[in-house]
Amino acid sequence: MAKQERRVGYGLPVVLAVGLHVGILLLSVLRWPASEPEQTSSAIVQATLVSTETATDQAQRAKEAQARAAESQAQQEKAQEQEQQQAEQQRRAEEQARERREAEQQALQETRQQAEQEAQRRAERAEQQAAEREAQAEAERQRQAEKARQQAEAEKQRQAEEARRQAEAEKQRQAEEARRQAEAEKQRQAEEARRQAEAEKQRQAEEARKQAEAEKQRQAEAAARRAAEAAERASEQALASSIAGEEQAIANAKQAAQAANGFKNLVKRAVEQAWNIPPGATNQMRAVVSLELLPTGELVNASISQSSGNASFDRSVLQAVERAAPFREMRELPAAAQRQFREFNLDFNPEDVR
Amino acid sequence: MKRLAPFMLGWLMLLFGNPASADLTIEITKGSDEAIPIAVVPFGGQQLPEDIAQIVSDDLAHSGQFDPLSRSTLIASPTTSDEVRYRDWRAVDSNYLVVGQASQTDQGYRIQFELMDIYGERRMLGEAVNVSANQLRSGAHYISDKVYEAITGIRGAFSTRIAYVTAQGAADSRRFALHVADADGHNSQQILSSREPIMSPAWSPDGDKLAYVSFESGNSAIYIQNLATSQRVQVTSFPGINGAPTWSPDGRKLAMSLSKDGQPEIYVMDIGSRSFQRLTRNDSIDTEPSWAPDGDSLVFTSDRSGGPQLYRYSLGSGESQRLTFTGNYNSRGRYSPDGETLFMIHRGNSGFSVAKQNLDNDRLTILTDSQWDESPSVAPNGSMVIFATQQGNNGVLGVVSADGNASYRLPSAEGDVREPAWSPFMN
Amino acid sequence: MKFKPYAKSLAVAVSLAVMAGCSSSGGTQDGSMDGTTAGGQGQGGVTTGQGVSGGQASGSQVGAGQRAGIPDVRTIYFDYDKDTIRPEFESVLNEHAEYLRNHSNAQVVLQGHADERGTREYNLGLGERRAQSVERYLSVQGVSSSQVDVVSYGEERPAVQGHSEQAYAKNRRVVIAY
Repeated sequence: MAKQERRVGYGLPVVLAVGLHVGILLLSVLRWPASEPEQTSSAIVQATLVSTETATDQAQRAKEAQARAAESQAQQEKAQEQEQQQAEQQRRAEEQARERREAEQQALQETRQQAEQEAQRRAERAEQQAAEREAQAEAERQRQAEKARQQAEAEKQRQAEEARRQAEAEKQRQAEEARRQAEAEKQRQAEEARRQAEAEKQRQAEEARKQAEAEKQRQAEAAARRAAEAAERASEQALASSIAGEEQAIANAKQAAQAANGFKNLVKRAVEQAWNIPPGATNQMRAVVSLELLPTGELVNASISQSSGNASFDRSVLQAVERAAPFREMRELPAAAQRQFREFNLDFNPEDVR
Repeated sequence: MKRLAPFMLGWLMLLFGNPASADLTIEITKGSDEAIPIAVVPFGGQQLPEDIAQIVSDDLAHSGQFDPLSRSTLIASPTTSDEVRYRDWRAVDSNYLVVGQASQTDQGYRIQFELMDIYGERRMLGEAVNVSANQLRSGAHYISDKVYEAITGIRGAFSTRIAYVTAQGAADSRRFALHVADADGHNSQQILSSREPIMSPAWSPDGDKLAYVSFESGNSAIYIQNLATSQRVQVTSFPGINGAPTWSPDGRKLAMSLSKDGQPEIYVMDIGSRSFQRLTRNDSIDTEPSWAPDGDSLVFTSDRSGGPQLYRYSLGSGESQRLTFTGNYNSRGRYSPDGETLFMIHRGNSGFSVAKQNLDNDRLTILTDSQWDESPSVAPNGSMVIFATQQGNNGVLGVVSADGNASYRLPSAEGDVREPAWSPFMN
Repeated sequence: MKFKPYAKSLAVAVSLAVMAGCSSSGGTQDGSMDGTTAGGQGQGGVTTGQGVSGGQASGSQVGAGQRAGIPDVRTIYFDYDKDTIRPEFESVLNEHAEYLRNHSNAQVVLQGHADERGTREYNLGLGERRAQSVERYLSVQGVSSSQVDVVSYGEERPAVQGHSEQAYAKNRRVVIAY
């Protein structure tokens, strides 16, 4: 609508209207001068003319002229009236157009206002919702923080527990170690004491022998003493040899202990590698297999001595033993160690099933 | 000294001797991560159009728990337990052996199979199954089920089916289709074709129907289709999103996500009466509901905390409780059949992967190392998860074992594949 | 006066001519729409929105693209995980708002989309959020809600296939379909 205003203004109609008025006026003015020259020409011909008009003709002509004048005036007035009416109409039309335009603008403004209000309301609601969301997010964050804190707390406790357990285990290990060392020490001391005692005894024996030789002259007591000394010497020698045999046994036993430990680890590793823990197994499941080996390390017999209650699990542990066998390193074990492993148990209890 | 010596000798002997005691116990606390080696020997007897032993071997390998020997290493070809020399199979380190033979019958074939425990040196299982000529693959899957259950104690899921969606063609002439196939991807059948997207197929608990989302009406809407009759019903047509349908364990209700209230909320629809119950009420996106196996609660995805996380809605109390706290994106939760594990999509450092959370200790484990994973669906025996992922620019389906040890891709020649759903046991 | 009836229609014709001239100059905004400088491949087919919007809307609106007066640009893009209208798209939406205000019979469907990352049903929700964001904007500009419909396609109808950031940026969009 704004564009139309610029394009089509009051200018042209006004110009035309004014021009028309002027034109009509000019026309009406021009007629009077036109009739004047006619009258002056009839005055020149006045001498010869005998007017044939009667007074009543003249009067009639005057009346007609008046009527014509009145008519033309009426026409002129009508034209003027028409003119005015048209101008009026145009003014009214323009008036209406202006009013319409104004009304439209108002309506547009109103709708815009409404939209703005609506938008405000929506913005407010959105704000509220955002605030709610924010509050919920905050609550969640706090819950998370709480939970995280609890988890951290639990973790700390777990770690403390773990540390304690490890410390305990370490202590035990150290105690065990200390005990073993103490035992070894005691044995060494015992050996030392024995060796010293032996040396002492030998010295004493020597002494006695020397005394016996010195006492050779006393035949009766010397002979009796010699007999007694000989008997003592015999018993001492027997003791010495038995002690020597014992030392050998101790050395063998130590070697056997080390070999047994090594073999135990070997068995453990081999069985672990061969054990397919079945799906569905839990950390609570436990089965014990008792097995018999030949000195060559071959498996004679393996059986479940304590079942887990789960057939798959039981089968898997038997299979593990059967797959890991034979344990050929058994042949290299000293006899003492070998004896332990002719019959032993395997206790299956998974610790970290996923 | 002389008198003490015998005591010391005896004491030493007690310490080191121990000749006849069987008290020694070695503790075994861990096992091997490797899959169980098993040998499946090609079946003898009648030549069959399908290689039964290969199907069984593939099935067992896909479960992630078995490592079938390759054919080239099979040192003998027994077809019955009498022909088996256990020593041979110990030599190739195989724990188990499957042998069999087939013969022709009037109705088709009779397949006999036996399962041997190599180290125990005994026959564990022997059975014969009759199948028609076009059911050979089903017969093979039956054998896989039996072997799997005999060894692991868990029911096999090799005779189940999967549903999935394919998309083919260029962007302005794309065609979508919904398919149903065997769990190993074979024997696919198209059950719906459309020019508009199809999403979220879900099996009814009796395996007879699929619920799914289709855009064919111009907007998302939920349909239920009977697989045998192909008849279907449109059950929702609300404005906004109609999505994520899943069946309750008793098959009588459908949980879904509807956004007719302005944003997606979880609803439960009673299928018989078509009545709706609204479960969630907030400004966030609440979607992807799935029922717990006991039917008392649902897991769903909600971003009310700022990003998508999994929540449990208890039908008894009407309360929602957040389940996942690891990472900032966890969605599309699905329960294991025993209700103790939740499988989901988790966004980690390497992208979106299938993950599982132990609901006892809340420990989260990522199962795949691919980065555009979606739509995990659990096998009805809980041992495997099927999901959608990308291979280059193609959508493909993958399967990963629930312990994460094995995974494989399903073969597909049908364009982009997505949205898999694992059926229940088909009995 | 005999000019009046012609004057009005003349005025309307002249004003239409002026508006047509203004809207065609809006086409030059396409090039500056997305900030990436090198993403030239998808641009031609996507940002002008004339042919592709028909394809994206499943072929049902192909003929509607060329009606005179409807703004050319009909796709606006979003940042990752966001549904806020980026400032560079406000003028596009303003044009659509004006057109819809002036043509109360015109109907649009706002089609919301998301990129492929994440799970599909959740992405339906993200796409819907974006479309609703555009719907709110139009409503603030005075567009009647009876003219606007919202549909979300989530990640089901990507504009560009691929796993790159550029592809994702082109898929996080709302398409204004007439």
